[in-house]
Amino acid sequence: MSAKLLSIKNLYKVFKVGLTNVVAVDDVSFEIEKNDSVSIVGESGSGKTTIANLILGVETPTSGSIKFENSELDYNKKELRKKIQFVQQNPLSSLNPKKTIYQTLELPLKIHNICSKKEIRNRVIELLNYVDLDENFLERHPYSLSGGQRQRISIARALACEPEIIIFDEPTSALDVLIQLKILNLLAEIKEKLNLTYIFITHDLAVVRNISDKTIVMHNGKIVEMNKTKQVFESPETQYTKELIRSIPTITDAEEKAKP
Amino acid sequence: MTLLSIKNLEVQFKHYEGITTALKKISLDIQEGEKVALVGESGSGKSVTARMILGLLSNSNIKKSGEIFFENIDLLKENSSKIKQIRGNEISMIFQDPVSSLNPYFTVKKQMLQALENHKKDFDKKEVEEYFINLLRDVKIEDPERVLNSYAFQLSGGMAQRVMISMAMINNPKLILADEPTTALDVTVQKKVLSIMKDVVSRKKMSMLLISHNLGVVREFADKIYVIYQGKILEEGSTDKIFNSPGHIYTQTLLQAIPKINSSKLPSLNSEELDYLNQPKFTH
Repeated sequence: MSAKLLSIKNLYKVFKVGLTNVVAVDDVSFEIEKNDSVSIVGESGSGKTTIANLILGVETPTSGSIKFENSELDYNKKELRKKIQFVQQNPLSSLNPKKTIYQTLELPLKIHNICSKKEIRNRVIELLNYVDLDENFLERHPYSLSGGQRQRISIARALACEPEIIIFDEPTSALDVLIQLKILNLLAEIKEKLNLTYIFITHDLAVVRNISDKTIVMHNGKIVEMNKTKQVFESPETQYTKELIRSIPTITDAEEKAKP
Repeated sequence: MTLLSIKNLEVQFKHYEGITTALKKISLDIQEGEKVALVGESGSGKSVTARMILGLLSNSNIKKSGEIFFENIDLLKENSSKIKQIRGNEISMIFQDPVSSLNPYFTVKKQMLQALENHKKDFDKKEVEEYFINLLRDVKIEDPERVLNSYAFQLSGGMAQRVMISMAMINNPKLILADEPTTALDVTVQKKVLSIMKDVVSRKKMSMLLISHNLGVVREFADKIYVIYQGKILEEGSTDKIFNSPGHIYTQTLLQAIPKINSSKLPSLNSEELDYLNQPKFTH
């Protein structure tokens, strides 16, 4: 039996907006096993990003529990914090424009004492190699990189902490299709190599179909469907999922036929 | 009949690092009642094309040559007052982000009135409201009275974009340019807005130029497609031809690279980083 890496139970998050309460995450429970690649999909406002923020500890749950390897997540523990990393949608705004790539990548290594001072440079180069870049990038700044290269740096930064789980929030929606394909292939390769667990937060269902084993469909803060990706796409159980899949603009007749 | 005809349009931007050629002698035709799409990746020059048609790009750092004929008027040679008459009247535009294209300070009604007043002086104030309500009904807004008196923040993204579409139609233009009109919307809303847009444009026999990076959207909407890459048009043909027998290696690679919903594996490409610009243009 594979181990439960992350288990989320009866998670609630309520935001107070003026006098009304908005239930962003409404009684959500799911489990993620080691080496899974899980996608959380849904339209804007469905609560998918809030779930990511809760797992990352950016927000605290109103109630419910998030367990990592059977112990409640505690963000005061640095050790736990480094195990879950995050890659954001827009790499230009998530990288510090004033820092060189070297400075960006050495920071997590220093914070988490991952290697000795002497080894830092080599480790940074190693990280760049993971994402198919090389040491020529060390002294460059984010503005001098292309969108795809910037996203590679964000991925390298997430890898620096030697995480177990990486959460990707729309990792390729700011990229052109040819670059998107390269990044997605790269992510698959890294996952294999480093034995990682991925959580994708995205609205691009065609990408989801191609990269994840399991899919969680969210609507208005609730999970409406959760199953193996193949199952969700080929025989969706709920009307909402069906409608979502039917709405995807496709480019071949075969795809159109495959819609539920 | 040809409504808009772009011939050998070249646009160059002068900046401190030198000169960037944004459009490299492109030619494009739109017939009356035709829905044409211009697809390309970011930086390919698609939005520059739309802005050139509307005369929104003119300053001393922009060098342009070629012709843009709109019903036998060369838009590049006309003076700005003539362009102002055409813009918003005979050619109008829908932008990507509907909520930020609407003025947050004024109601929808006030903004629609403005669009009308800019081009027509003599209209009956009483009939106008009726006309606006009909326009909003055309884009399937069920409670047009409420929407008419709303501010931008009171509308959802899909609703705001429908308001933009009806606003673009106020002066009964012959051509509507739509720059990524559904990119900011969720897929279910996108589908709805696309079908509404297609329906209303066909019914009113207007022509449309859709600018998009999303090939799926383009396939659903357009009759004819131009594929643009780094300022150069690489392929043109009917939607059917482009998708079922793409001729240019770039189009083929693009179509291959898009993840499909009936496959559980990422696509693999036959070709890697070719010099697409060196391949001749393919016309179906």
